[in-house]
Amino acid sequence: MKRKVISMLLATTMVMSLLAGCGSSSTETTETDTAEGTAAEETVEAAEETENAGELPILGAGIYSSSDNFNSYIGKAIVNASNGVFQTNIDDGQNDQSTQNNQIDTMLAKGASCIAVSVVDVTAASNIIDKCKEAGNVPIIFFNKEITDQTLLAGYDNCYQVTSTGGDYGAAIQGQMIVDYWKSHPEMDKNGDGKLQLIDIMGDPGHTASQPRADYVKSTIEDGGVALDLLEEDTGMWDTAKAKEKMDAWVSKYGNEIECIVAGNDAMALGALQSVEAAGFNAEGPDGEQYIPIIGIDALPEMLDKIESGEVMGSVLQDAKTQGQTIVKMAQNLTDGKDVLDGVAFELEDGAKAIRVPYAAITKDNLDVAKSTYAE
Amino acid sequence: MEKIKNKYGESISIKQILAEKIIYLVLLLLIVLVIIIEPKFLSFTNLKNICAQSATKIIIALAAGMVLMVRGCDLSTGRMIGLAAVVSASLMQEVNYAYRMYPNLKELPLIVPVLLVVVLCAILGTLTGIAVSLLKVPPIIATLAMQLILYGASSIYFDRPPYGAQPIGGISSKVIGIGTGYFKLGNIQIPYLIMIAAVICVIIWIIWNKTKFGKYMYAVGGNPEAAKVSGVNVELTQIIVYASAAVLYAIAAVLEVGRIGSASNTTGNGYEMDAIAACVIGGVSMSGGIGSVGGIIIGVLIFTVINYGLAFIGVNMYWQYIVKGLIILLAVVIDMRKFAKRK
Amino acid sequence: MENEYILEMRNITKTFPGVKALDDVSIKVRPGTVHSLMGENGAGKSTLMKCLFGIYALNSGEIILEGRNVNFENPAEALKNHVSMVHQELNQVLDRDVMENVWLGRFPMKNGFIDKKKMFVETKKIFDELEIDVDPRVKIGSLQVSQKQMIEIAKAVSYDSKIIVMDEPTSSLTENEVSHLFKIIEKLKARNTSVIYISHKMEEILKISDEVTVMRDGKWIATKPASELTTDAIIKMMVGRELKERYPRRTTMPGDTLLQIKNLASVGQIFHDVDFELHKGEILGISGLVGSKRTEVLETLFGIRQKGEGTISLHGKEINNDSPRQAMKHGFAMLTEERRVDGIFADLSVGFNMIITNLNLYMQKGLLNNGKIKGSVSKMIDTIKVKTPSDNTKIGNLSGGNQQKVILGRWLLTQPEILLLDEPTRGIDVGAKFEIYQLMNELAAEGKGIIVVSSEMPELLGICDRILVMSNGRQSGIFDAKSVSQVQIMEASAKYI
Repeated sequence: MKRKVISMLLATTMVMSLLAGCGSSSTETTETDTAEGTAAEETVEAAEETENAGELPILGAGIYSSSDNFNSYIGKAIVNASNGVFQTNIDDGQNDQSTQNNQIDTMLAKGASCIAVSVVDVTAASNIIDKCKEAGNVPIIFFNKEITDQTLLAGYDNCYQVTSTGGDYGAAIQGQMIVDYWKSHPEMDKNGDGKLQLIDIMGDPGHTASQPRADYVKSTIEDGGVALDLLEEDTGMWDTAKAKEKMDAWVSKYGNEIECIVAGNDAMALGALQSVEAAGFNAEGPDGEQYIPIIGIDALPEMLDKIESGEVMGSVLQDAKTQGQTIVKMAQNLTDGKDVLDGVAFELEDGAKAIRVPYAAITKDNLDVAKSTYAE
Repeated sequence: MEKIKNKYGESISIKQILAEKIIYLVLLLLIVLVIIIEPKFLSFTNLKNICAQSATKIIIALAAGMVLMVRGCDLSTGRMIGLAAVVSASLMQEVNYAYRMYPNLKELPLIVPVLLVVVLCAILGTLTGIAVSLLKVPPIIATLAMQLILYGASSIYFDRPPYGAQPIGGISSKVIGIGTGYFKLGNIQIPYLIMIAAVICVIIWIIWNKTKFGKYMYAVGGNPEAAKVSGVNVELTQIIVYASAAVLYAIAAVLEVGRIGSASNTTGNGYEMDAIAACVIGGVSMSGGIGSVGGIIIGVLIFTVINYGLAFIGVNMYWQYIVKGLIILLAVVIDMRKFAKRK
Repeated sequence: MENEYILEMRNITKTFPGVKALDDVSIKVRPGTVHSLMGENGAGKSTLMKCLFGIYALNSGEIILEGRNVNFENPAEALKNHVSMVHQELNQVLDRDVMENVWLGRFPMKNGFIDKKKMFVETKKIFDELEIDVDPRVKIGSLQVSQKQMIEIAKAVSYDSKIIVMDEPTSSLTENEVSHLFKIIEKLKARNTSVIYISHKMEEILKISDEVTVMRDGKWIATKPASELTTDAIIKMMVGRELKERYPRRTTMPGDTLLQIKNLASVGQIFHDVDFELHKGEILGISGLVGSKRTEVLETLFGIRQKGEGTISLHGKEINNDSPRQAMKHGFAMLTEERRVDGIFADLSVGFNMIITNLNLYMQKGLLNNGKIKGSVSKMIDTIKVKTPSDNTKIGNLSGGNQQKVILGRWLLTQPEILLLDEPTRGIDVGAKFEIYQLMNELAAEGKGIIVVSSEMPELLGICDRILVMSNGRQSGIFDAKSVSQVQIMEASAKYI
């Protein structure tokens, strides 16, 4: 008897917690700046607002994976920018194309007036376009992950993409920052051999941006006239802990021979920083006794803090907020039948139906640019 | 065939000992190989790094090992650590850090976030334990469900204003100090992490070998039916195992935050697989009832040496995966050979 | 050159961790004869055959087959060399038809496909020769045990076997089936095939065998022509002493009432109307056919099974045993029937297996004290004469009898007042049985009450004071063991069927 009661209680609790999970995520629909509040309040609020928002058109939005910080940050920016314009909810593709396809089917079935999606697998884009066509030529905007096959976009009028500039994923800017630093700081060539001893920490090798970032940063450095001596190149899987573990080994192996560390994202750059600081580097900034310039991509708040303190040389901002706003504006235009670029601050790239939001180099000198994107 | 006596006076063949200990030989061989390729590997710093990197993993593997030992299998390990890391990190940010999750929060004594996540995880672990023991949900399903719930919960907690979906950084220097600092003994630096892990290992060893609960744990894993007939409260033992594993995850999570210096909803992702692999390499039986603290420590060390050593000599990253896979396979094959039919 | 022997196994030694299973055993088998192996459980007969068949690897010794030195790596190799084995447990694919089972792993092929026709013809040929009346095309699962066994033998013949090992082939056969089997064995002999025959049934052995080898404790004792042997002679060799006293003499008399059971029934009335008293120093047997719910009575007394109706009174006070833990608190101990299923922790040590039920005894300052544990374990090992290399040996490596003693030791360490023993001597050899009876006597002499369930009627008659008989879930009588006959017990067993 007792056992039965416990089972019932437990089962109920579990179901409740599942429901609570669903409830809270739906708050993203409209919630913008209610900073803190209990989950219960949020759920109630969400329910009310959803009712009020019944009139608004639906923007079906999906990211490819919530484990990619930048990707989910664009998702968040879309939700914020949609306030009062669209009903929207971000679906997490969980890095699985079939999951994402199902989600898109659901969005279309719900009557979405526009789809904005970051595809898991870029080759699946044509399939998604077909779905939108079939559902009555629903407009679609691809973001973050670049659809390289231009004929696909050209083949469907209601189809655009918003990405960051170029196929280099911001790495060319990283490379240029290193070249500039090398030229303005002769002490960077610690051993005076005229070559840059570099360590490159790549992202997950299965991710589209990983290899291009690693390649572009190296080629930009060499094109900039700096001879390169690549000490190590290995994956940190986008992950702070894994990057730190790899770096531990290399700091122990090379020590002060390392002249620069470049990471495919800020999370890994921060891991590398942890590691070199434990070995006695960087804590006192570039003027300290031992210093290795470190550079990442994403301009995470944490990273901005470290740039400000001088522990890290710089990062590259990929502007999620602007991308989110642009996507929503375009979606609005497409839904209302206006010109797609009406009120959008960017032009379509020559010969392509793509808007490219530029990356920006972030160093101690222009931190405000990055910080402003986090100001609500 | 040559025979020697083991410490219990049973005679066993040298071949048999070799078969059982070959995994240590593999470890030795790996180390020697790395040293031949890169003689600099032989340094105190590397030893220290390897131990420090293993420290939290040992704690995690011991927890996962406990669950394996009672015929369970914990798939929620990584996400439980993720949740504890995110929650504790949000309460351990420096007061003057610009992007705090709770901008108006006063500085808390360290013990507050630690206790909070320990209690939180203990409750969650108890729920898993109840699902497995009383509701008879197969462990793999119960912990899979828990894994999803925990990931959802930690993502909700993590991904919200003011700075949502950004790694929680600016961790208090006290916490970072625990994760990266060391105790100086003459010229030797002993990281605090290693000392903490050592203390926890000793405590766990005592619990496994010197307490009633420990014996019951082995009994439940060895033969739950016999344990029940012997008067062991099988269900309670299972619940305590899951709950105490969760407590260890919480402690490991705080240490991870200190070690890495930040936390996000991806923190801990996939740790369960590393932990289970280390347990298997260390001789924990997947069918329960067999396993030792020492074995698990060795299992983790082997894994770390592979990770660290391969990175140190700069082996191609794709090959690193292959080597790791082969080692796991080898360990299990050896393990199976011990119980193979042809004795 | 014709060999006198088709098979010689010379000086075979085989050890498992901590146990010497075979010690310098030799046997010689003549072509076209039946050679029987006899011995108690654990004497090493099956182990010897598994060594021959390549299931176990030898530690030392040699196997000579038709003058060639062989040592098979696996059963497949043994089969290829015309040695086959009909196992106690039949390994057959029940969902496939008879001929597929016979030819499994070496189907006749034609143009890359299985040649069903040839398979049928070949099978039929063998069946006809052995006078097996089974259609090769029916599913094997639909056949009776005896027919399945015939098919195994046919399969052995299809391998053109020179030697067929039969391990307890008649244990589940009726008399008619046994005589059919013997007919087949005669045919095999006529084909010049040798049969190595393992059985416990003396009459059979003497009837079918040409030669008999007796083993004891992993050692070879004697090989003699069957014509020179009698049942008594074989038993004498098997046991190593004359078994006049199979049951130790009881000297004490039961005392005061210890336990009183009134109207006991389980939840769901699996059994009901069980009503008896147990006295101090008494051994009460429970007899009955399989399915008469004897075990269930013990389980209910021990709290494994929920009580439905009735009362259990200990020392005149009513108690509730809702769980094994509660029963243990009340001084109950229970040895379960299925040692492997819910008795031993096979992968853990003898010591662990002994102490697990009463860890409280060894607590000191909140922790378990190794010294205390070791002391009490080694004392118990001595007291109940467990044969084990050390208390750290895995219990799984001990023989069944010794495992049983360890578990008995486990319960004795809880200082019980009442022992519930379910088939305590099942599957253990005669010598160990005697020791367990002696232990039960000693415990009774100390004033403990013992309830023992057993399927062996002579055992109950030999060791008990009284015998309670269960019939179809009801108590059908309690008899004084000294005056009751086996017939009376059988009649009571059938009372409610």
